[in-house]
Amino acid sequence: MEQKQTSEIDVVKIMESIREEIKEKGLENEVLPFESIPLPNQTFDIDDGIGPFSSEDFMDANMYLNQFYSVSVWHQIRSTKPVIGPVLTFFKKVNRKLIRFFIEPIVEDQNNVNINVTKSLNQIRNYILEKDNNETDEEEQLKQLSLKVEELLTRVKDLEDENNKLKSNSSVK
Amino acid sequence: MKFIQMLPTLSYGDAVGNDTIAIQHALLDRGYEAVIYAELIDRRFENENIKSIEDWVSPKKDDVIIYHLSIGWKNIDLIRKAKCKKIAIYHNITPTVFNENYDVNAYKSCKYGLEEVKKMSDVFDYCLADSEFNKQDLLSLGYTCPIDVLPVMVAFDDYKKKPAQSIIKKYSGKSGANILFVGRVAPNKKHEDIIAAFSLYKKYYDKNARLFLIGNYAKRDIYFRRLRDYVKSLDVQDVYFSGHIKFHDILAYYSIADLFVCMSEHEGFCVPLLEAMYFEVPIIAYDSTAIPDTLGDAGVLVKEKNYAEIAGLMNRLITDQNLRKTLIDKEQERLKNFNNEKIRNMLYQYIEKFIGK
Repeated sequence: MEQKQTSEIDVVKIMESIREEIKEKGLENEVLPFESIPLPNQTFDIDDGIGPFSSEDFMDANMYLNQFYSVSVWHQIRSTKPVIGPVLTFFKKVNRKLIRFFIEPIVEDQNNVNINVTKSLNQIRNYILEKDNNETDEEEQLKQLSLKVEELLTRVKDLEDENNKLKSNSSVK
Repeated sequence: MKFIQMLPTLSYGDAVGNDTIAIQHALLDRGYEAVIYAELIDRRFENENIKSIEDWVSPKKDDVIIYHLSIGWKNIDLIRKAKCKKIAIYHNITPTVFNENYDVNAYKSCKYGLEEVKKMSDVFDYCLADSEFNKQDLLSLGYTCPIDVLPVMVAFDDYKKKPAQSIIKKYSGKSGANILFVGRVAPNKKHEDIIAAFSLYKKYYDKNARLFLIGNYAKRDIYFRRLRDYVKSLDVQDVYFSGHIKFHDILAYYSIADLFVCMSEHEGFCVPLLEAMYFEVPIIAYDSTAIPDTLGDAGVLVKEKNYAEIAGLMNRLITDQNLRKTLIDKEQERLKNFNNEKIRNMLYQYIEKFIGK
């Protein structure tokens, strides 16, 4: 890979000066080790999936659905067992063929449900994203309008002051 | 002749998915026929020629399979049985040790994947590796076919999109530095080391600093929950886990960042380093796996995880304007090596040599 020469950085020198600085200032390197934090248990958080709406959780779940909505009835059958492996594979394949008439329609039905659930949730996702964008635009518009109103109020006040001044001048005359 | 790219999951927005789509476009632009087969396909890839593995048709003898090796796949035998030429693009597989305590599925998948990579060493006629590290990994796994290094194609044009203004308004120009890491919350990324170093940086140098850990996680994920408990135990404030966010939000976080810190201990390439370079954010990274290959001299590599020293280095890179300028200049120079046109030409050169065109 080509590399044009730019001014060099002496990392060793930088690190040495940092070490000196740490020593001079007496900065400690003590941090609680991560390993001292116990492993959380494997269960769900009590608030996982319930509670107030979380756009983050919704997007996570939606992304998962988009990736995995289609359940496959077909998958490679194999066995790593020596000698008996090919025989096992053969019988499993025969079994697969025998129950295919029963399993396939169920999987197909489930996939149709999954497709429609995913489509519906994608629509909701798009609605949320559109709403988010619109809200940002509206917030911006509102801000601009507020600024304009402030400007106009200042202008009105200036005009009123000017008017009062003119009135008082004319009454003096 | 047709190029058939294959992979288990075609995800939207991840490095392997993006690379697959970029290669597909490059092949089509060159006038080749190209198709992608995957088992799980993100529905957002509507306009691409992507087929489900259920519709698999055995390739013709003059076709070329390009398999993206990054995780185990039960359909690998389809590749083994195919009578055509075969190329593997190796994105690397996370060693099982990282997921042992956290994610049984990821652990099994990586274990299976690593066994599979070893078993497939005699299947491919040619390999492309994302980095020199990945190439060495393949060699150590017993691959004897020719191997070239082809960096991941990054869609830099996407980064020209408008970043989310709400995030920029909220965090830019405020007192305190914005420190950033981008990457899925996974044990090999070592978020805990960034948090530990940040806690000292905040204590000794900048009490108003913020740490943004941008990347997807599942709330029930054990590693994420342990990290969250760690932040609480350290009593360190202003650590933000973004979770899944929109693309323009990611752009905004890069736009406001003063520093990018990566403590990852396993990367096959590490696209976020290039993203940080693109957004002119100085980088500190831990010297591991493919990180030095991608970073080059465009950032500071730390050889050991001494948190006080890393905190000092964070301070130096944030406050020393001359050093920042030098690093940013180097980043811009380094990025030229990953220019899309350049990588495309490398791809054409490699595959056309392979097919004998």
